[in-house]
Amino acid sequence: MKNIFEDFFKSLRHHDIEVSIGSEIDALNAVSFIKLENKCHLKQALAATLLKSKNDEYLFNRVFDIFFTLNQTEIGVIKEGNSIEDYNLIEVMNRGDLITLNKLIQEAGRQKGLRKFSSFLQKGNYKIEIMNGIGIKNLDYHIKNLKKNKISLQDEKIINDYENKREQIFSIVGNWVNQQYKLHGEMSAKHLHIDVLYTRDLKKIDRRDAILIKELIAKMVKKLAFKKSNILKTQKNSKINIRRTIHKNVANDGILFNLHWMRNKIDKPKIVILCDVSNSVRVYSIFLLSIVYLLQEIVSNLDAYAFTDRLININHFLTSSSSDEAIHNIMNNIAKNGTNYGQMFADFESKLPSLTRNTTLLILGDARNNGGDANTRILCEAQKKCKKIVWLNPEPENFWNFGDSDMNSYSKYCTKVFECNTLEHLDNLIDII
Amino acid sequence: MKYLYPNHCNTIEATLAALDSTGYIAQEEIATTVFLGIKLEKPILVEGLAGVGKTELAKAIAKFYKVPLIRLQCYEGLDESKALYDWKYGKQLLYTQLLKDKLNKIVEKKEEIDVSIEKIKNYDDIFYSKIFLEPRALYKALTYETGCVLLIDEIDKADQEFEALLLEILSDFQISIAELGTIKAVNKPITIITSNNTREVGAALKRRCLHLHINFPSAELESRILSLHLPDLSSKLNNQIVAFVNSLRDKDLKKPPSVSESIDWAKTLLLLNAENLELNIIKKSLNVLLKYENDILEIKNKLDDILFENNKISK
Repeated sequence: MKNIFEDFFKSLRHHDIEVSIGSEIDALNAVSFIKLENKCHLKQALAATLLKSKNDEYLFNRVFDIFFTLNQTEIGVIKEGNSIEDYNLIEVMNRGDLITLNKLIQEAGRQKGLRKFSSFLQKGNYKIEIMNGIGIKNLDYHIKNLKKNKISLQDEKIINDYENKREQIFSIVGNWVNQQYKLHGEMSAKHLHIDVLYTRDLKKIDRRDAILIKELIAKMVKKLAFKKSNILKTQKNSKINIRRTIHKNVANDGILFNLHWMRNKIDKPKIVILCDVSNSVRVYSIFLLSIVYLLQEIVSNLDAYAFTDRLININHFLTSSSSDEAIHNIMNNIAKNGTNYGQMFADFESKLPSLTRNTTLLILGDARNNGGDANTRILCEAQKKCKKIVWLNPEPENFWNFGDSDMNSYSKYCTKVFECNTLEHLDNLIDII
Repeated sequence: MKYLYPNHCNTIEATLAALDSTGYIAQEEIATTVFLGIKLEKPILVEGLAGVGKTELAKAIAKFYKVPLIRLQCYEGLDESKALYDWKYGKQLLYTQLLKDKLNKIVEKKEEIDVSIEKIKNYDDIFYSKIFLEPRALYKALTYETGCVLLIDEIDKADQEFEALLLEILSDFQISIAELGTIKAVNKPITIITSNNTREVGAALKRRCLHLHINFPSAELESRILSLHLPDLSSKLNNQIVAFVNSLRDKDLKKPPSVSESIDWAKTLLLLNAENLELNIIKKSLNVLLKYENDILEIKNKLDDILFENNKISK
């Protein structure tokens, strides 16, 4: 019994649902209080103890449905102390005992390490291994003997019957392996794909991966949301403000009747984003803007600007109902003139008074200025006012400072400058913010 | 540490019936989680949109067990002095003034300062004893002999620091007070924590709780809820209200109507002597059901279509 649930916990983890040891213990305790035959109650009990976020509900339901409908017409494993070898497949078949057959398949699957399923190419191999594991060879041998010694039409019928049952077993094993692939293999393949996507240049990412990328970006931002909830705290304590208390109680002949408390201070971080949307960095801007779109739901104090030569506030675009719509509007509404960082910073000068010691200034751009004035003075001014300035350059580091790039001039005033052209880089950015 | 509550909720079905008896018509998953929460002696973190009955659940449990409900409403800036305990500083100061003469007698004028401090040291614990302690909701919940239901409402509005403070209480049902030591629960409270999901609750807190997400009830369940709260409501109007509210929930609204709002709306319609759900009467009372001007305008524009669709389905 415990093995079945342990497999279920592993399947959940495999689908990126976090299951702690404590939750496992709770789940095992919880299922001891309910009737396992009632799948509805079983699902509710496991969900109450293992499912910690509404976002994981869909995945949880999917894993549960696959896991407990494949084979668990009755939840359990073969009798304790028995092994597969103790069961005779021919007898099981003759009894038409599907429950035991399912248990044998599960046990064989476990022994053959089905959880390591990582590619659909392994399906055939696993089918054969499980068929062998449950003792199909004995059945084949039995059929072969019957064929050798057949005398009457009755024998022919028996042989046909056995062959049909063999087909049926093969089909059950096949279905079971397919379901197991959904539980273990699909996710392994997805993980592998994500690993590749993470380090691939964003420019080279295929359109069909767009949804997956969106999911990954949403996950990154969620990570930031949790981090920000730590930062967005009130600096408070309930301590007496001694100076103020003494001062205010002078009138009471120094007797401290009226107490005065430390005041609460709210630490509100601010993020200002300047995003180059010129053609040379367009693809990267789209990814950054999709992060910005999600960020504005978390950070109340966020100012976003886009530029090619002139700086334009894009906050109002970010209120669109979807990130795609917002990005589409931004890209279509910002004039596509030649990039001019000098002019952009000149426009930014009027925004300097709004920067505070809690402001993080993020700039995405290749710093290619078409030979114009770098106007570093403004960035220098911003540096004095901001908490930090982070510059994300989509070009590989080797290309910086070549040709019309002014990266060298700007990097002096930045707290951090880093290459940003893969999902991995964007993920690092979340840590830096 | 005890966990003594009458053993009425021995099965999921019994828990469902128990909640039902208090007037809380629950979905089965709610009953399962409450049943497990009581059996495993674990707090329950209840999430869901505003108005789906999270707070009512705690009230129903308290009503069923006939124990007090202690409610701690969370907000930004809530700290241990407001949630757990505080020292009665005013009383301490008043007592020091009143006992000034006594203190003068203990300390003789001519003696050295260190000798005086040594003498006073024997009395300073008196000023940090239970008579000067102001118990707040969490402290009170731990000290109830009969047990109680502790409702920590809208935890998502409190800060991360406050969540950390709760960890000790939720896992061990005890608190550590520097001056008094560890205070253990006399009878573990049945703890319900609610969240509207305005921010993600910390993983450590989630680990200590069972998790329950309350969705909008099914039409059948909502109809039963309305009948229970408003026995005078005709079944025809009841069905129409439920169908209308459910169709609004499918729309892309800023705040879809919750159960509490459909109850309020039904009350309003009764007051307006409505017998049928008609266009005029809906227009007049839509502000009871929807809370945002944009939502109201949007639905008013689509009202004909919605009613037409609902009528088609009911026919």
